[in-house]
Amino acid sequence: MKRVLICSLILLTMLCGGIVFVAVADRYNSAIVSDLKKATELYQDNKPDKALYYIERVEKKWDSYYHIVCYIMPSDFIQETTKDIRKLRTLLITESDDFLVECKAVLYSINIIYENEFPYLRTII
Amino acid sequence: MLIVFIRAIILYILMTFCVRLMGKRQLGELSPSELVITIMLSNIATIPIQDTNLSMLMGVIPILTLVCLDVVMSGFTLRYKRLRRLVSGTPKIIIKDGVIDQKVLRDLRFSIDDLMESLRSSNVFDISEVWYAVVETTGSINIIQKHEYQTTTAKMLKVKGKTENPPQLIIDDGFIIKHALKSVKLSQGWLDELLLAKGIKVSEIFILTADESGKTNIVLKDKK
Repeated sequence: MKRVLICSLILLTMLCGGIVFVAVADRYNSAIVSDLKKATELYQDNKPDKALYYIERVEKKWDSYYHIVCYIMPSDFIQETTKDIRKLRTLLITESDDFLVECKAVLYSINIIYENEFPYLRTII
Repeated sequence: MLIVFIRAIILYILMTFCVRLMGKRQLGELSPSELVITIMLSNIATIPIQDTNLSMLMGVIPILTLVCLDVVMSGFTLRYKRLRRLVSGTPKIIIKDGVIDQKVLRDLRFSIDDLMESLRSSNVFDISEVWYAVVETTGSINIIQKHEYQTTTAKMLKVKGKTENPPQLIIDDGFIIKHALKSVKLSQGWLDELLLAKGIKVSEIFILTADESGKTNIVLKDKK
């Protein structure tokens, strides 16, 4: 019965770890998505200086989120997202038209991370 | 390259731990659920080693989940007979008093060749010699022969005797196994006296076995 107990504890630990990870992913995702949306709105309102502040926040949040998300997501995907986030600042400073497109791409990638972690029926099946 | 190397070591340790966790049953015979687990584990373990793009947790978590689930399920099946039947099935009598139950044979999708092969592996070449043949949940067939074909035992012959413990390995390649010495109720003093009388050192002995009566068998190391 010792083995059964050890295995039950391992299963419980993994379940708790999974739930905690979903909660952490949700927190980071909401924060990054909200900052990105604010940056896009400000950019559209012709306030790139203020938008830059939010893009910097996105970069900082992504840097800490990166260390968590790299344990579960394929490294190709994380590197691609990191590259897209790093592009945002340059696109904003140069006031490139691609800024909004890139923002949308990052939003999509961030959402994918959460979608892949949360056990929706569609993601399970 | 170093990443693959480290991953392989980690997964090797994990898999060894998992097989130990599954217990000795896993090493001997496989029940249906254990067979499924074994096949799945061997596939899952190789994926994160080969594909460094994938996180190692993607391999570790399913391995641990499957193994732990199997152990927990086996714990439950010990307690709940119905669950045991559902997961492992029940043994089936395939031959009774020398007569094959053809319905059971069909249900189990056993061919007559499979059956004959199993009988032959038990040294039975004639179905009429079989009293009972049972197909176990692991798929193996166990046979009881009719009385007249059974191997003669001391009890049948009414020969009285004493059941003795088998000889134990006392010295293994120059090293004394103290717990083995204790298990045959012999002492270090007895061993010292024996070696002194034979004029050999412990380091010269490759194998020394002894039983409770003190009967020994010594194999010396080859001289290079």
